Amino acid sequence: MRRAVCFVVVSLGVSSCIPSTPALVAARRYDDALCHARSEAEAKAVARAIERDADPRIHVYAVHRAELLPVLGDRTDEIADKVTFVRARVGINDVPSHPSAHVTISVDEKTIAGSATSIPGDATVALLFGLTGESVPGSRTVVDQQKLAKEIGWAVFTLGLKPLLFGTEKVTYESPPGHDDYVRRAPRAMSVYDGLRAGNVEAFLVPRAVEQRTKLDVTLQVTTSDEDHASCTLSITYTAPLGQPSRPLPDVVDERFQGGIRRPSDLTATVRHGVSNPYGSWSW
Amino acid sequence: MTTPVLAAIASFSLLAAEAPVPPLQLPPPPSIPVQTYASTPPGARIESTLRLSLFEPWLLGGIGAARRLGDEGATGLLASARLAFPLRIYGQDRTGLGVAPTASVATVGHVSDHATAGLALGLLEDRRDRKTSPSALVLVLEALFPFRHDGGASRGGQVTVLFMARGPFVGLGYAFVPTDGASQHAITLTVGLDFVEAFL
Repeated sequence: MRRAVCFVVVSLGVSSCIPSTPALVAARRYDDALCHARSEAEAKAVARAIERDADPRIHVYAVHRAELLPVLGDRTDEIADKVTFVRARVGINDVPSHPSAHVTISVDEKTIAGSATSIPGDATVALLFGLTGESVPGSRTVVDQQKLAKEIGWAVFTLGLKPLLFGTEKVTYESPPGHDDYVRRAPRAMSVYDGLRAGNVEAFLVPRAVEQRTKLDVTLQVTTSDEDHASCTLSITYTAPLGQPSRPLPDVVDERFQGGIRRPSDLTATVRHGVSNPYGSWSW
Repeated sequence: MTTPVLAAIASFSLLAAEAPVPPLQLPPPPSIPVQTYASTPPGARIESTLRLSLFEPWLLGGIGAARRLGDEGATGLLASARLAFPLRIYGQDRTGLGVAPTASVATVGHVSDHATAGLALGLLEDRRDRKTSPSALVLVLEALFPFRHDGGASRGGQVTVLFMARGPFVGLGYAFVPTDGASQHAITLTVGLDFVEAFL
């Protein structure tokens, strides 16, 4: 027999085999690059590339008093003197690492209400009810049609003996109020709420008393995991002043955004970067 | 008695007559255009990494081993070439030893979607046998395996070097592996043969 087959397969030390972080970045393998960055320089390179590709852009709009008038009527001035309604939207490109982005408004580093998504839990709605003086709808009684049909069926089938002898099962249950209930009980608050939230935006109620100190925070985030399921994260936060002394917020916002979208980095923003992976954590 | 009733009716009438609240009319937010970026397209190479890899100590060790084998009856000619092509790689995992299969060896991952491959061809002539020429391939396979396990984890990049041949052949290599890696070698070898056969 010819020489027996001799196999020696090379298994390599992984550290010498993984493509370098610059190569991963160049190939836009951002998830892998984020998890394999081993120094601040590499982390910066990954962050820079993701930031460049994601290219976050925002639009902010502050509602003018005249726009509130048809909805709030004679309460317009009273409410507009207390709060400014603001909506904001952030958009990013479709990047292989699937980053997410969100926008908030903060005052003295505290995020103000406006990012909840369900009506009962939405702080914006709670504030709106307080402003318009409308009442929050209570829970409603709903008939379980299936149970009802079953009970009727049993009653017919047993010629009425079943409910007589064994009673009936409860066919109703309490349900939290739905959107329609809110609209019926609080039409003004819900009109403002629905108008603000239309179009996949975030809505905020900025108290007039502190609107000069408001800041816009846009955060770009990537969270992924490596082959050992260890978490790898990137966070880039832009913080830009929004309000200005002695000027109404709607005027300031109009001037800055002029109906168009802006890059947060163009808004004289402070930018904070953070990268964390199994090899370390870096922030700059 | 009639007064409260009338008042109630009157207030109800007023309530019913009240105009509905119009929706808040705001200018629509401008659309934010989205551009799509993809990873390196299939078949492309990561040149820099490959270039570096060719001069890694382990490869030099492999060349050295080839030469030693040549002293025993085979001459080694290491010709290097680079090719980029889609490869079929069987389910693999990183174990710390390099590339080793997961439990699902039969799972086929298609590297062309995710990976770059560099191929160095080494031709070994088995002088003793003189029937198999060229009989050996030296594969330097470099690939990124962003395999998705459990719905999320991304596999890291891997490089495997396999020295092997078509048919009965002489295979050799350079390895620094723990002694308990034998079974993994065997399975890795199977993997290697599978994809070598796919190209021969």
